[in-house]
Amino acid sequence: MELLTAFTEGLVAVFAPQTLLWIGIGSIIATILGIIPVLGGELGITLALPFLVGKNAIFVMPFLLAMDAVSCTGGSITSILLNIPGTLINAATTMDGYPMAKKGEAGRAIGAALTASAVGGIITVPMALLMIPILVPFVLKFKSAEMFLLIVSGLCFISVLTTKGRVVKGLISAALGLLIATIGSQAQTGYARFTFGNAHLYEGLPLVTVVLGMYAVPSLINLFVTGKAIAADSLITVKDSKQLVQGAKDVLKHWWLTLKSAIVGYIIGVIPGIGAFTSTFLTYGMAKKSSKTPEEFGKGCVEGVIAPEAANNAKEAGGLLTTLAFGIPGTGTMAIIMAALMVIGIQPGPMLLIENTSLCITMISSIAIANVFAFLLCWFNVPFLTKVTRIDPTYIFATVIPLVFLGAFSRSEKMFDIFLILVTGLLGFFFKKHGYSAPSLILGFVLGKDLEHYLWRSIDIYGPAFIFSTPICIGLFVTIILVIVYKPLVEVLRKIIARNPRGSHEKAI
Amino acid sequence: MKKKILIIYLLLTITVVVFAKGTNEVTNVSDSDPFAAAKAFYAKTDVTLIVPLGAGGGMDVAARNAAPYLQKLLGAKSVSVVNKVGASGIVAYNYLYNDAKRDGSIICFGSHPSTNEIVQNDSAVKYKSEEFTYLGTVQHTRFALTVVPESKYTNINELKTANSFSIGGFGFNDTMSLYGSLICEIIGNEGNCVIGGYGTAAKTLLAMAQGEVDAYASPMDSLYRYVQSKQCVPILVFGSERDEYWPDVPTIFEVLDVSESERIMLESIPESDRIVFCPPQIPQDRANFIEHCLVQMIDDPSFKQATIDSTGYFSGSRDALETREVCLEVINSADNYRVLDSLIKKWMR
Repeated sequence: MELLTAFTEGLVAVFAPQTLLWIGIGSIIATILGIIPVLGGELGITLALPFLVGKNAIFVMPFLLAMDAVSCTGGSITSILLNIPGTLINAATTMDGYPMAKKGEAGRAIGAALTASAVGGIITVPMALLMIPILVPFVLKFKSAEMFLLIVSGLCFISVLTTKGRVVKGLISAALGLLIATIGSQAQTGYARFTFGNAHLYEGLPLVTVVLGMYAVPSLINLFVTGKAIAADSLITVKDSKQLVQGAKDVLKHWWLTLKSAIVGYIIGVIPGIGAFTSTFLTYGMAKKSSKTPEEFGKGCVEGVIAPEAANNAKEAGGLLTTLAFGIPGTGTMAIIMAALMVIGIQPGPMLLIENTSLCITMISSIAIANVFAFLLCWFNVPFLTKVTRIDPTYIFATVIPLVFLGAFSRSEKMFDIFLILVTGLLGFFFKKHGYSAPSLILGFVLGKDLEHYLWRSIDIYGPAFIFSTPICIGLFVTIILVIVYKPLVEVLRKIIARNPRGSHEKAI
Repeated sequence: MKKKILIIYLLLTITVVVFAKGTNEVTNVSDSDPFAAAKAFYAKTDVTLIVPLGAGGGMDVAARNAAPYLQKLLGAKSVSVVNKVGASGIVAYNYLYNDAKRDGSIICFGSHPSTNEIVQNDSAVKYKSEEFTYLGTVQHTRFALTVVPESKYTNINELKTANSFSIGGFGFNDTMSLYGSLICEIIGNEGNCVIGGYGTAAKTLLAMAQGEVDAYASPMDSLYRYVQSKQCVPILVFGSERDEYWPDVPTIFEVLDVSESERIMLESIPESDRIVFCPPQIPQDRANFIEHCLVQMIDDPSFKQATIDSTGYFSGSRDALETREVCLEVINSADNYRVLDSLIKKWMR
């Protein structure tokens, strides 16, 4: 009964006009920041924080959460139009979003991205609300051994990120990513590796700079060198506004993919220590594996946009739940939101869910409302924004390159980051020119550190046979084996059947 | 032509970026008020509070609590918090020593930079900790050893006989691991160990709840809220006296047989301090003014209340002189630290 009262109070608070106004303002700011490459919700929240001290948590927290929840909605637009992830977790969207824009289908890609984002962001909110009572026992099941196997399952999808006939180059890219991830001090032993006494390398290479270098710089150089607009007017056969509707219809057509990706994104959001970045690549890989036309992925397939976009907005509700229950923020933005909670005098932890249930419900529900705001805001501006694909690339280059360098420089105010973006930019350009896979490198880089971390800790605690330490571990291990051997096994069986037709088989018997 | 314009535009942008940090400024205002020149300086200055650890941690919360008070007391245009994370603080301290403006506009809320310099003897350290301008300590706190409420170890006597308990640590060579290794050494049972790499208090507490590790040593102001919300229970305080917040929890000297050399090592680990300092050689009047403002801030009951609201705990402060002395003590205890380093290697897995 008490829980029901808390639910009602929480929902009433989120629909109060003043709360809605704060959510609306937060959504507008974050959508704009998300659209501008290298900025994003995190910057907005950091700048807003000093003004919010002493304000009522009922208004402050929905405002901050709206900023966090919808910045990736705006970020999908630059991923599709410019091949530059507006926020880091939009990186997977570039793989099919940008090729769609080049084909003159930018409106359709954005329509699909916005709808999938909104659906993912909204449907996972009731899931989060219902999960409150069982959250703690669920998260406690995922220890170091389970986390290691989850990360290995993410790495299994590296082959999916590579185009056909370039599997070896894909694996080399991923191996390079794993190698780059070893730069910095090793958490268990403290040994500094490949740092050469430079303190900036102790925490490893910064993800933001590497992603910008690998994606933004090669795309912009390519645009500048070719001198052609991303999509010429002649390629656009249907008006952008009609394409938007087509994109929304695509999401409805692929409703199962949307739902599946949202659930995976949500679960990865709930489990602390993996990160949203993985969920977008994981769902992209799953979409390609289950698609009837996997050969179209990477060339402008709408399913390749739907899956990561549904997942990246779905992770917010899950991530918030874990932050509230355990005080473990899954992202940098969540860490700042947690700091805001503590400054207001609210300590995240299991007791928060019990003692302040109505505030938790208000916070989680505000994510759904923010997603509706962001969807409407972007939807009505897309016909204007898609004109970017027809602009002379010289102007795009001149506008975006300084932003990319400024973004990298502002992170640390060190010339080191400028140097790093030049190096990773050159590497990205080399990758693009010679058919290596930037997404595989990024996935290897993102997962590499945690992979090593959880591996050593699992061995320390459970011994070398940690893979068999719990039923969840065994289940994950079997899944990984199936993912790896399924296709080759089917191929081998097919060949055996083809060599031994039924007659000869019977004769043998 | 278009390409030429573009190249000029890009060069201009890079020039603006590189010189955007500005130049140091000298103010020559004299008045009977000893702080008149400093006040005039801050009235047109944006102040940055550098935090060497990530957003959301105890240090970050301490800086964010102080920011509005310092803005009012200094009369600054603005006071903002910037997290300059990396290498357990070395990135931030190197920046403060080598690159930050030496005009009083950059203030650090950190821990003792001497521990990185002396304890870890890290080649990445590019500063001399005794040269920083120490201004005060806004919160100093002892460490405590905690377990989860469901733990099989409910008090320190049970730990004494255990031969397979593990203590979680943030990384390697951090203060949590130092205390963990020292406890293992004092108890002396070979099967015990310290497992590092959890990174934050919340993650270590989750590992305790999951049963991966049995105990966790941490500063009391970081733990207090978790204890209040029944996520962990303190069983031991690392100090010579019981803490006023947890009077029922015994000190390490009460319950364990601590040898003289172990006592020296225990006392040479600095208490967890939220210390405030500036780059070296900032104008003396500005250093005095910041120190004066910090004293006013700490004496303000509403600041104490804000600290208690956000951490549940306020354990007192130190002035600039005492803060500097703690730093020098660490430097003077360098030999003890080297022994601690060998203990870490012995007990950490």
